[in-house]
Amino acid sequence: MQRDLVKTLILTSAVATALPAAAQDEAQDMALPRLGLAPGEPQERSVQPSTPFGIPPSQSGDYVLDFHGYMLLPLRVGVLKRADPQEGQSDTALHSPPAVPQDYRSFAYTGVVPEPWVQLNFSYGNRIISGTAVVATRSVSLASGFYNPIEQLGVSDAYLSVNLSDTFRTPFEVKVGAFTGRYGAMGMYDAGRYGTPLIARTNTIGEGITAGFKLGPSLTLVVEQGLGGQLGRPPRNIVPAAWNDFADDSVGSSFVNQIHAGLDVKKLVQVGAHYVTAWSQDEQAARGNIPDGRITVLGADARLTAGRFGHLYAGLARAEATNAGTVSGVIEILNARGGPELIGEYLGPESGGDGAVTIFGAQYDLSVSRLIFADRYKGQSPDVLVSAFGILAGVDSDDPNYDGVTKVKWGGEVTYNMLSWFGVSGRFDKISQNLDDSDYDITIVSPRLLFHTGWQSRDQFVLQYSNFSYGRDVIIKTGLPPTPDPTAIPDEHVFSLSGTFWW
Amino acid sequence: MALSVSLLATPPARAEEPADALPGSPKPSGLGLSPDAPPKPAAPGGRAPSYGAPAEDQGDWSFRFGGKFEFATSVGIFERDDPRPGQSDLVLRTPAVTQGYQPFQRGARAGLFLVYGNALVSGTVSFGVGATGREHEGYYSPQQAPNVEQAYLTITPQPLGRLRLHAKVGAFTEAYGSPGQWGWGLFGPLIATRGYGEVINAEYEASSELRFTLAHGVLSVPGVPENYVRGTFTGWNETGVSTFGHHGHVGFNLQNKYVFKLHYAHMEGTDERRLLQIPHDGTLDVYVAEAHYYPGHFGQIGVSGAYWDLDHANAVHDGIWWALDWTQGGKDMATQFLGPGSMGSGKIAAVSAQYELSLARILWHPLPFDGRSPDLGIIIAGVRHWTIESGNDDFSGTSGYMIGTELDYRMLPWFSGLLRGYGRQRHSALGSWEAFSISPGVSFRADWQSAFRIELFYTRHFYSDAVDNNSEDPLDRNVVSLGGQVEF
Repeated sequence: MQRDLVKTLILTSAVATALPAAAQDEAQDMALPRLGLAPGEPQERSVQPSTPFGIPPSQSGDYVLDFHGYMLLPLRVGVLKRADPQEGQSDTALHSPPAVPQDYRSFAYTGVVPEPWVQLNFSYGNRIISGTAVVATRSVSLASGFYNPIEQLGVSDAYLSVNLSDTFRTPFEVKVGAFTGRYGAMGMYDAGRYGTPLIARTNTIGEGITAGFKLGPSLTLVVEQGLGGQLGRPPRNIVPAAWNDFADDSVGSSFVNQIHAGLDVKKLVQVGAHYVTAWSQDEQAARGNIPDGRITVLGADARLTAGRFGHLYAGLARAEATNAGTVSGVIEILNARGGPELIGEYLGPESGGDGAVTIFGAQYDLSVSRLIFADRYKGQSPDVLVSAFGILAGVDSDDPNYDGVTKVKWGGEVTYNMLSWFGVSGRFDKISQNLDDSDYDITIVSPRLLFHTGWQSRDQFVLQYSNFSYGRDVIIKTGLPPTPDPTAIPDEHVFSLSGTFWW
Repeated sequence: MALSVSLLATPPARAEEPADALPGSPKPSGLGLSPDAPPKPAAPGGRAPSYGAPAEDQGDWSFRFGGKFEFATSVGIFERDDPRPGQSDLVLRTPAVTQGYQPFQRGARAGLFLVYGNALVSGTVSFGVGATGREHEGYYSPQQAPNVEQAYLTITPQPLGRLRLHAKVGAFTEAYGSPGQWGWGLFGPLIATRGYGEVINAEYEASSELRFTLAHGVLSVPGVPENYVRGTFTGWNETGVSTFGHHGHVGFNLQNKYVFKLHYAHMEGTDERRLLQIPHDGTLDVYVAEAHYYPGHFGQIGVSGAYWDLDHANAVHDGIWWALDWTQGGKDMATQFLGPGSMGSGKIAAVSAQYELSLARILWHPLPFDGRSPDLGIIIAGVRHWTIESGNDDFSGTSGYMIGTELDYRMLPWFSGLLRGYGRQRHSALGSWEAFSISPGVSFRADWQSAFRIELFYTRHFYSDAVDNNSEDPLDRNVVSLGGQVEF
């Protein structure tokens, strides 16, 4: 019986290899006996890819490879008039990167000064199952001042998607792997003018399930659930250093549970409700017992996609934190990673990680040409794009210096695309890091010239000037890790030349 | 792939409806951003389509993939003067501890180029991937980890009559002033720039025999935070300074026989250091003249002359990362050629020449040689350099040289005999710094012009006392190297 089974397996595998008979014989004659695995074989169990290229897996019955990418590559110069140049120093200092309060992890971040980002997405699979790996970097090593390992993100996301829609006869997708979740995307197709998810971002390895239910001809309910954690935690007694991104071993293993529900009405209005909770209950603390920590976000948002009348997004969220210092970057609130950065940016060092942040944000985008010409406008002629956006964050904290602080940033942008290859644009940003104290205010005015290869090309070259005005108590961060430096004088003028390409 | 979770797991870029990217168009139902959407705002100005917006394809887009895989290892062999009990007479070390030129750079590495685009615009990303782990490297070496080395956009508009334009924007390197016919030549270019920026090239075809070229670029190299703790894996670049520069180039090509180019580069560093330093802004200017003569079957002769003017160049980061040999920026160049205590100020000149020929091309002439029969390839190169002026008087008026030759006797389709010899001399604070080597070897290929190659060398090194100056840690003089590469 066993011998028959072996024969059957051998026969099956021979048929499966399916080479033409003659070629197969010849190949077998030349084949060497295998004494071990080839170096190129995966060090995990795996199937070998066969690869038609360039077809989205979700549209293919066969296994295919697909490739997408994004690159943003800026030259940036911060210009500062030195107050007291020393001998051998000119009156003007030039900085790259500019010395401006635009740390991505802080509330003051607007995204107006471009920062390098390259990512390549490789997907392999078919319409049922596909694997995606995203390779990304925050710098380009041969053009950088030094090799900073933490900026080379390597594989930033890797996950499998399983489409079970046919099985369940309703839209149904399961994701398993390491992937990010971003909720509260203020832009129509992107993270919005601030590049900041309003509700929360999660960085987990785990699962996510999305299901859709048609409730009527123009009504769809979407439900999404996810559970995951981080792949690891800083080992006890790790020495914080640049190469490990200044790891904090008092942060515990952290996990996220989340559920989201949304209603789509006639593809005109979408409303969503979000619940995300991240917690840590880890006893591997380096310094004695640490309390369990938790950050929970409740949020709701709505999106109006009104054709000629533009796109409007508004969202509201409240992030409640308890002993948040032990919660890792498995969750991000307004780009602040986990409890430690939430404390540093919003709750304050005396809060003990307890407190809450209430967040409100909105963005409105309008194409004037589409407003005037409706469907006659095809995106192949001049247009004026108008955008208004803002985020407010109110803090409740046990730290008296942070309690009651309200932070607001808002701005507007107008773009006139006058030619297929040329446009002009201007953006205004106002940041109030404490609404009650204008000495912390920052104002940014950014006129720019846009060059592109077509009306709707996926490339753009931007020559931009940004003027920064500061309240007298604005402090920038310098050094590595970026640390508030009261002695550093921020740049007033920033010039940038950037190239962007996405496909 | 913006708003994810299109319900059928369909990437929104190919979403079924709507098929346009006009502002205000509805998007597929979803609750959040797809994991593969970039964490960046929309392109400045909010032009449509933003990343992942559904849009019709434009033009003939293609994906190309090329690169180079290479590996090399070297074993240094020397005899112990006084072996202790338990020690053999012979010491084997890998990597070999040497100075001067080697036939290979050690390591196992892949350089991959991924290009996506059409005839008008394309994006290029180059990956460098080395062996990082303890399995091969002996320790974890983060700098060998997969990293994006270059990334840039290329624009090639339609020719304007006889004028062709070509521009690059992004993060990339450029090299100018090499006397070699292809690539870098034996001792490299006399200007190699790197950084974030742009370069625009214009080529004007005055006649069928005469072409003029003009190029200009602007770049910056972001600074290293002053408190950053540098290490082997980060490089040892200067902290606290950032570099800005521009470079310009003009040249002509006559009959594809005579080529002449002029290059200029200016780098500037503003010094903001506050720790243990007296800040001083600095500049580094380079002027290069480059000439090539292609006398038909007699090969190629190239000569380049360069002049460097360093003014407190310790504050200039490595926007110019290759000048005379691998000198990373102003401080490295000052250390090697101006000497300690020069304050980074001085003037250096050099002449670099290279001659390369194929003996078979000469013998076959006037018949064309297709490279599919035995041949002896010869490359002879040399660089003579002078320190004209230095803040360190001991270095002023000193000179040095680099010489080298590479012989490749392709006797069989799959086999070559090789001989490589290199020498280098320069002034140093310890005396004359001299390192010479000669390397006989063999090479195995798949075919006459195969892109696959495996090479085995024995190298004998010769050092002056100023080079091999530590009797406790002597340099290897006998080295065996094995390397291979494939290009595609």
